[in-house]
Amino acid sequence: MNRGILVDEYLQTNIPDVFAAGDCVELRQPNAGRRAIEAIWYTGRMMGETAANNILGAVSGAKSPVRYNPGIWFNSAKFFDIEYQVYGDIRAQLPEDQATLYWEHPGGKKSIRLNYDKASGRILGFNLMGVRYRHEVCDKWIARGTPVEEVLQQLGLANFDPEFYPQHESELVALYNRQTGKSLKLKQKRGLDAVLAFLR
Amino acid sequence: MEESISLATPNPTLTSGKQKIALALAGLGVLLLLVVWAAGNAFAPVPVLSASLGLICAGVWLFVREEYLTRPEGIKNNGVWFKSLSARGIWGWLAAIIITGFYTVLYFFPENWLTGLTALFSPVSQGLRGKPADKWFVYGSLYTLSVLVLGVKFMYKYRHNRYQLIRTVSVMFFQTGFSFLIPAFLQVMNEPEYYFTYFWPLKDYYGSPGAVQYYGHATSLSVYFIAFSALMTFVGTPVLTYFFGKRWYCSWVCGCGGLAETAGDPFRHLSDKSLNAWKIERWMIHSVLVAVVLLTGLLWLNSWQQGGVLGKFSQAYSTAYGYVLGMAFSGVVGVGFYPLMGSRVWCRFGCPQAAILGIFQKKKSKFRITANGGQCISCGNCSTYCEMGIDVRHYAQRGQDVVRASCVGCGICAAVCPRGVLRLEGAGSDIDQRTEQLRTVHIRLEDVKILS
Repeated sequence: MNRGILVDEYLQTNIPDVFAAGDCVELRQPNAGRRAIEAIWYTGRMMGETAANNILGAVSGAKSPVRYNPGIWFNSAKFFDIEYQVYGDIRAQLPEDQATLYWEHPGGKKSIRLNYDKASGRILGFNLMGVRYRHEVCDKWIARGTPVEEVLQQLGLANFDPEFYPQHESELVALYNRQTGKSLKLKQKRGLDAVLAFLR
Repeated sequence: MEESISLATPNPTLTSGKQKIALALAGLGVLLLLVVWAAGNAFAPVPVLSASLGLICAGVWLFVREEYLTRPEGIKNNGVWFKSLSARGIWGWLAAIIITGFYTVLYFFPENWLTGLTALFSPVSQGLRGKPADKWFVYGSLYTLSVLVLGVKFMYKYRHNRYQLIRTVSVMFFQTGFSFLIPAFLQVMNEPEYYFTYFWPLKDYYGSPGAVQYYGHATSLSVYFIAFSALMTFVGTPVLTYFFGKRWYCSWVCGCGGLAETAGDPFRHLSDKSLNAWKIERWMIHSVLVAVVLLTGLLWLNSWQQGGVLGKFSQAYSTAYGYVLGMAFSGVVGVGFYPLMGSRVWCRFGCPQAAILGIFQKKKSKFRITANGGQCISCGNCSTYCEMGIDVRHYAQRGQDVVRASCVGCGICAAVCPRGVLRLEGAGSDIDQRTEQLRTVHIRLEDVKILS
């Protein structure tokens, strides 16, 4: 025990065959950039799956144990009636080496933030209020370190808002152009066929 | 009563004083209709009808303003499991009995049981069609009125959601235009009455030799009516369902769907989500499809053989189909059971059109409801508010796209999801693999062994 129940990367405690999962857990060796205690719903679910596998499969010898790997950070919530999503690394204070693109709808109930690495332009994270983005698309961009300018031009791939909802991606591109003096164009609008081709 | 400090207060105020007054006004309007019905006399049709409809509209309007406009936009289903009307309480049962009773009289009793109401609606009928109202005109008027008034209510409830707004305008438009005004105008123009938004097999008559014979010769135009129906049955249905799924009809156009989506909205959570209900649903809906195919086949065979094959039997079979399915099931049970079994009893368990659309949707359609990565938190709102009784959460939890024959594409699951997990959409490149991916399941059942 420390601040939580200490577990190894297989979610096993120091007592053999005793596992822990969920909000009570403190990881001895969290993945790079992740915290030892991450008490949110989604990590709890992923830990549950890992721990169940390691109890049912590994202990009985049917399968080698699986490491707990939560992948790229994501979370979502709803504040009153405004939905919130985050994909990737978005800090409360913007680190020195990061840049940010922040767009807000005039109505005040929608906003999109893209954080990226200043030097290389690699996309680092998405923060969304009142707008839905597609988890797998954002995940793939972040995992690949896709340059922010490519992300912006393809941004329609990420849009997960219901049909007939206005698409704001071109406004983000325009904002980026204003701030940097570039002249990028949005090449991809919302659409599942393009998403499937991208994810394949 | 002690004041609870729980966030989920166990003693919520469900209906405010103002709302009770509003409901009383609307109730008074309905009561006026019931009095006219019971008395068999409309007294002074124009003032009485105006008063009744005025009271209903005003009551619903006041209720809606108080219910939705006093709070921020967003879906408000607070207390649906506690309110008597929407939780199979006394008011729910009473509503079910009144609606079932009305439909029973409408379908199975002689016309003179409704003389009060037909007299009441006659001025409207005279204005629209140039002849007095019959019971079907009364029914059509009340039906359209329900779709319009409660459609407006629905639009206030979901006013933040453009998909819901546009879809509701669509069902209101098709009900008013294609199921009410156009059939009336056709009669004024000496054309036979026709409903362009109903096709075989839901409207089994339009596929029968009798209809082809009649509309083929009635007027110079009417042959195109029946040709349009045939085109919709054989070409329109598969093509539109390929592109948009079943929703192009069931939740955007169909009149039965229109009433379910508007008047039926407060009851959508009452649909049975159990696996057994799903099994019964598949047996029933496909049996009805077989029954209607048999019916139409028999009628054509008979017409071709000049009544030589099973002439009397096919007549009796046709009559029985009309009574049991056309009237008792789609009418009496279909609407009367809204407050008991949810708004889509007929659509889910009986409609042969839904059965065919469902087969196309499942086998060859771009449509699916996509689950967004690993975002589902298993709250179950999607399953609760699915009027077709689909356990949407089962799919969302495992990150699996939803492809179900019964899904009418109303989009409420996506609207009530607190994490924006679900999206109705379409793509042509993966039709046969729509449901294969399980985004959040990494360990298969075969990989693990349960310790004994």
